[in-house]
Amino acid sequence: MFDGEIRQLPPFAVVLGMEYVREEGSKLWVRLRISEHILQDTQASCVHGGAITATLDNACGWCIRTHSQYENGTSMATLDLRVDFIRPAVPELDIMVMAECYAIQQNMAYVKAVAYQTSMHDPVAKSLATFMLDTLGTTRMIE
Amino acid sequence: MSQRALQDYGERTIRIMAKMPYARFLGMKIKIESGQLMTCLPAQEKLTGNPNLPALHGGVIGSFLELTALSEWLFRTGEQDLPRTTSFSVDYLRSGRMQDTFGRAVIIRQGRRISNIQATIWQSNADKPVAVARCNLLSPAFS
Repeated sequence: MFDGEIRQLPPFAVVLGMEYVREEGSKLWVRLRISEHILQDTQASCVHGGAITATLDNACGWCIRTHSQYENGTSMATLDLRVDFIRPAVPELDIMVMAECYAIQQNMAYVKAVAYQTSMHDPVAKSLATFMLDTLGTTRMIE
Repeated sequence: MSQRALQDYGERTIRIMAKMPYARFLGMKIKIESGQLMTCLPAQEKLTGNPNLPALHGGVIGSFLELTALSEWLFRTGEQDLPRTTSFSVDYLRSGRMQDTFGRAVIIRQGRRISNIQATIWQSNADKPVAVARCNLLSPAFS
């Protein structure tokens, strides 16, 4: 349904190692492939939190497009993003992010996301974000 | 703190951050001037989020804020080991253009276990921040 637009990764997402995985309802999955440049230190003890934040931000923005009230092509901008880092991400396993847009109201989109390696129930990080929609003022949302 | 200790801590911070794979990947630089630490993120095409504007990726902005907070913590504590980020919250205030970006951070409270840090980044005008963040770091002795 969102083929094309949604899979068009921003240049930074490509170099970081993000990949679109799938979507299911208003949930969307993104994978972050482990590479040397996303590590925290040279001993390769864990993945840097910033790379996880970047993947969470990207997945949060993307999942809004799967929401039933989102009108295709509407511009958006992240307003705020909070991340709780629960445990360090090991460098042996890719990171999966599941993001879900749980509400759209008055041109604001509300999103929650979780980053994990083995199971969604054993998260590496959890986040909440809000996005402003129609920042360019060109489209009307379906209320 | 003596001028000498400050200089040692500054050099140590620059050394630690220069070795960090993720900070190298982003291309972050550190400068210490009159006892103050400032970070710089030179504009690079790979940091693009929205190629149409073009704008920095939100994840780059988040990562740069976190790295700025971390650098300030290393500089003020003189620690050699990295702390663990437990929570991180970013407010996006303006679109980050494809320009050089600068950052500064302030330790609001340095506790035995947790340090609370505020970071700000800006581009051509220091009075017009692009984003601000709040970061809680857990001391390496406890992580």
